[in-house]
Amino acid sequence: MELHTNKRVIVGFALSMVALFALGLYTYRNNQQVYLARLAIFHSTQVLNHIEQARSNATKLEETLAWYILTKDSTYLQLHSTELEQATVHYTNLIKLTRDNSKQQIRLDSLRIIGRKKLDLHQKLVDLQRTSIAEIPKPLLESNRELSKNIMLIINGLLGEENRLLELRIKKGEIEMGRFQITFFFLIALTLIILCLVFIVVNRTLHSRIEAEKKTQLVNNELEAFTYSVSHDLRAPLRSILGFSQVLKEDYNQILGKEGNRILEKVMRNASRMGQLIDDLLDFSRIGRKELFITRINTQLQVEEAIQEITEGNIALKKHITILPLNEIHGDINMMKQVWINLISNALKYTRNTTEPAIEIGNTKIEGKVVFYVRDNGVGFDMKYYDKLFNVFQRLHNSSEFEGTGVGLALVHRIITRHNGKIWAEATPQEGAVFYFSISNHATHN
Amino acid sequence: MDAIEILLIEDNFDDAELTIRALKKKNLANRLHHIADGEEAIEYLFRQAPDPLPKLILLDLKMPKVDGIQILKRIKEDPEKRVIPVVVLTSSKEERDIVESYKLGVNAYIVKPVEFEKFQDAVAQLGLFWMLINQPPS
Repeated sequence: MELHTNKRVIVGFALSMVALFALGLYTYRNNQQVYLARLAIFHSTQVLNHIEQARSNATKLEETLAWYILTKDSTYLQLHSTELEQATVHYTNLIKLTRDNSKQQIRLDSLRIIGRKKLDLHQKLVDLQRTSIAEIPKPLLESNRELSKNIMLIINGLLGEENRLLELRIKKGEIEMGRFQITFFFLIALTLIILCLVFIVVNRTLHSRIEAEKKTQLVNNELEAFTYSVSHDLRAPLRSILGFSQVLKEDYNQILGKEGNRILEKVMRNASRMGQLIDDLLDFSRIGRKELFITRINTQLQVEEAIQEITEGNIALKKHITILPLNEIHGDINMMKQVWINLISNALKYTRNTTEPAIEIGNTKIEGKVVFYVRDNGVGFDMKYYDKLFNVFQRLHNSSEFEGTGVGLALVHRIITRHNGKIWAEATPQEGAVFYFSISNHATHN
Repeated sequence: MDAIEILLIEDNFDDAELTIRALKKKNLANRLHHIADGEEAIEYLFRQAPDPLPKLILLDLKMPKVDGIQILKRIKEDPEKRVIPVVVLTSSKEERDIVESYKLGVNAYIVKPVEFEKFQDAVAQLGLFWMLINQPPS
């Protein structure tokens, strides 16, 4: 479920990023196209402008010539040549601007040819006017008018073509703009939808996580209530069993007889043992729930205190124990003390039948980590049962031989694990055992 | 009736019987009054208002209806009865019960041992201490 959700979120984000990237790329490309279209439109208007100017020049050329013929004033000839110059400029520009449009080039070419003819005719008319006073022959004027008509036709052709192009370009731009808008909004909507979906998925995951945490909290509370009632309700009847057995033993000793008393002893011993089991189990569950309170621990002092507590000052027992210099550590002081008490009392318990018990407590360094150890020369155990060593209620020795409930080492294991540490052991039957443990320097506070 | 010296508030009759037996052995149960219900204990202490006050209250924590903590709270909030030594005698080893009881001003907190001999010792010792050794305010 977790992985599934994560995958969905990642895919969602990837998709929305792709959509956003596409959006950006598309907008950029469109911008460039808009720019190019605008250039094309500008180009068309330039061409149109030059054509208009050229037409105006053509008209003016006719006018100035007419005025010269009527008035014989040479100023009109000057005006005529000025117009001609301007027309040439416009013509050159048009040739340049429309060089990629063959239709217009053809038109311009024929305009040049007819224009040349027309200028020759104009020259002829001027010369005639200058040299003779006779009337200008009608055919000449006729052909002049014919040429003018042709020129205007060509110019109109140029204009028409350019206008058509302009219209085409504007229309194309509009279509592209429309298409861009549709794609743009589609991509934006797509991104928004994907992001919404991602949001829903993330939100749902968060919600279910909160639910799960609530459930865990509930289970924990129930567990606590359960152990609490176990602590009270299981111990109370046991106390009655033991108490009234004792009453029987004290007050009805005679009636019970020897066998009766033996059986009563058995009842009491088993009830006691059950009491011990319940107490140990409660300790075990309490350690699991209790929050760690990490402080600096003077291990040397703590080990000495633990030994004092276990031996209750019994010097005969104490003299079997050698304490080497021990490093300070960070951990929960009460829990770590429990670790030492359990390990050392185990060592004492299992060296009970050894002729010369020797217990050594020290530390060494393994891979840069401080490792504490408790070594004894007691009964040890068979390494093939090692995997049972730290389990609750698992024992490697008979309880008639060595008393115990099988919680001590499980408790130690739990404490060390909660300190992010490691515990392990090595043993040889009848030769002894060594218990090692290390705890993290950065034990977490939970 | 003679004045009550020890008030035992305990809903479990078996535990009460064993407690009384242990006290009897030390001759401390002559003027003991047993109440087996929290509600009744409140009624006895605050309605009937015994005079003189008991010299010691032995209090169980887990009882139906009104539990020991509530009774302890009532006693220690009462300007007159707060001087009575209250010893909690319970099966509960729970840290929060111990802390709560001391916060409320309990005079001692004793976890009933499962083993009868230890239980008997504990009850006898606390009876001797509070009844004979301790000097209460007069």
